Amino acid sequence: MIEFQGASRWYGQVIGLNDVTCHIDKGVTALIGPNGAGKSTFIKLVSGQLRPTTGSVTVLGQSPFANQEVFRRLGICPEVDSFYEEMTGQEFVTFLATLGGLTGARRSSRVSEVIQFVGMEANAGRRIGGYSKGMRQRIKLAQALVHDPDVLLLDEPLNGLDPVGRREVTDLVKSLGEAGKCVVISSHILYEIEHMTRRILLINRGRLLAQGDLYEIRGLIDRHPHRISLESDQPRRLAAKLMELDGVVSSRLEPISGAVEIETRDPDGFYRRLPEIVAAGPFDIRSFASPDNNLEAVFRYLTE
Amino acid sequence: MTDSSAEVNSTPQSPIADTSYRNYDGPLRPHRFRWWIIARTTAGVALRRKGFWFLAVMALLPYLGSGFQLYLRSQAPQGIAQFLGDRPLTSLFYEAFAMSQLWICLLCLMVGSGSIAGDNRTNALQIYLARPITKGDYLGGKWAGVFLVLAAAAVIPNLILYLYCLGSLGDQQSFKDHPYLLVQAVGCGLIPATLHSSIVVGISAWFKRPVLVGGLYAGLYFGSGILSTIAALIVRRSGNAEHVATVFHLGVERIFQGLAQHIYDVLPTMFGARMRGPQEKPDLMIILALAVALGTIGLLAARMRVRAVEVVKG
Repeated sequence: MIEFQGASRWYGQVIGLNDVTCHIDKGVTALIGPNGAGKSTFIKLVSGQLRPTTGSVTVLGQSPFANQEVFRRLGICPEVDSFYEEMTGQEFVTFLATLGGLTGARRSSRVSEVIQFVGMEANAGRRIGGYSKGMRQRIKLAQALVHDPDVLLLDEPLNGLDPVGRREVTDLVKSLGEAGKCVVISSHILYEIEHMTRRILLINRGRLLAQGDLYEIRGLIDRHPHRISLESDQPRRLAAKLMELDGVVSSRLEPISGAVEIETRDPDGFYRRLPEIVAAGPFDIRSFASPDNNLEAVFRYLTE
Repeated sequence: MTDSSAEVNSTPQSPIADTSYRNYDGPLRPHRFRWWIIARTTAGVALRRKGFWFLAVMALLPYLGSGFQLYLRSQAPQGIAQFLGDRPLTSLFYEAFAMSQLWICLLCLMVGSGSIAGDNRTNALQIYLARPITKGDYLGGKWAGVFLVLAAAAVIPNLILYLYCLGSLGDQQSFKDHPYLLVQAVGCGLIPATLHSSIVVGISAWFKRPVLVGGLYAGLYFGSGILSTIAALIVRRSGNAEHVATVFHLGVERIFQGLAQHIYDVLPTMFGARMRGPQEKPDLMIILALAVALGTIGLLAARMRVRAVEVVKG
């Protein structure tokens, strides 16, 4: 649905995005990167508000720049939310629905539908000026969805939400992906992103560092062996036993928890052998976890 | 039980409501006049402010004052009526127009300053321009929204005064002497609305803080008046008396007054008395050209600046 072919964008002598080639299909894709990495430039290129300096960007098979055909099928939820304070949430969504081409009774029913979908039916009649941050995020999401776009761009939609709100928006985003929408979500709350999708685009300093499945990407980062932490009744003996396995490069004892933390270059082999070790004894393994097999670790390893 | 009721009852219905996302299968027809949607919203937001209604009432008061003068003239004893004088109606309309200008300017600052600057500040342009509308629709809508509000505040008092004249003086010669009074009054109301909207929208497009826009436009409005007064004094002292009136009317506020003097064909008066300053009308072509130039520059400035994204220059 979204295609970048060697796309670069310069702002004068500052580069916003540098030679990016990627393909984004239906479902939820996370756009992650530190501040100033080029995420906003990426979103503006997709939403047709910028033209690439070199290369090409296509959305639904067309160039999105100032293309009203694309705009009809695109929903955008920007990061900022302090606009139209005098309008009620209902009026705001209705206004943007009208700009999107909805009219008459269908518009009214659609506006009510999306307001209900984002859980704002109780507060839609109140002025936006009196909304909490979470309510603003929801009403922004409603305006982005009201014309039923195929491509949805969400810029930091979890900012300012309380834990319950985050969970609800996370579920909403997942359900949109399941409904066949192409959802690109930019966020720095990596833990929450991981709950929405495993598909990531990692950008740093304007360059696309990684794209694809989070765990596949993690598996490819060779210079950082996988850390696996195990709790046992006999940690020293366990550590010695684990060091005998192929691929294990180090082991250490956590001074406080007493857990054994090993580093392995072959996590799949390690997990295959682990049941045998437990069965052979003589120690119990109470729990094991992989503290760096997550988005945060991938993000850190690729951007450091 | 009938067949139809059996059919209804047999439909399986979950006691839990389905709140999952539903696609929209209705029509998506772009509005023919998309600018109008934006204009309506801009004007609607302005009308909700309490300050708007206060300033609109203040702009109406001079017209009520002129109406009261007419009432006194028709009702008062002969001596008082003679004291009030038998000025032409156009003169009364002009005085009310001149006195209401300050309030119209303040209205313009309130409504117009944030018209685009507010969107720049919050990056709302990203939302607007990601809809199927053009930059022209957006700018036209913003301009029209500000214009509609100012035009309503400037024209409606004129209409009220005109209707009062029509009701109370409709059969008198003093009214019949001005067959185009309605057109003149509406025209005088529309001129400041048009020019104010064009300039303030142009300035607003270049800034992110409405307060800054308001300050800048207020400075231009009042500062140009002070400068034109000083320039007129210099011209008078240099012996070019025929140009004094034109130079005096080169300030933004004075442009409105100069054009209104031509439309009503009157010289500036206040409560019937001649005002200080030039006692002739300014050169119509020069101030008209200046008004058109200012309005055009404002609109071009807005067109040049408005874009959905901020471009960083290296």
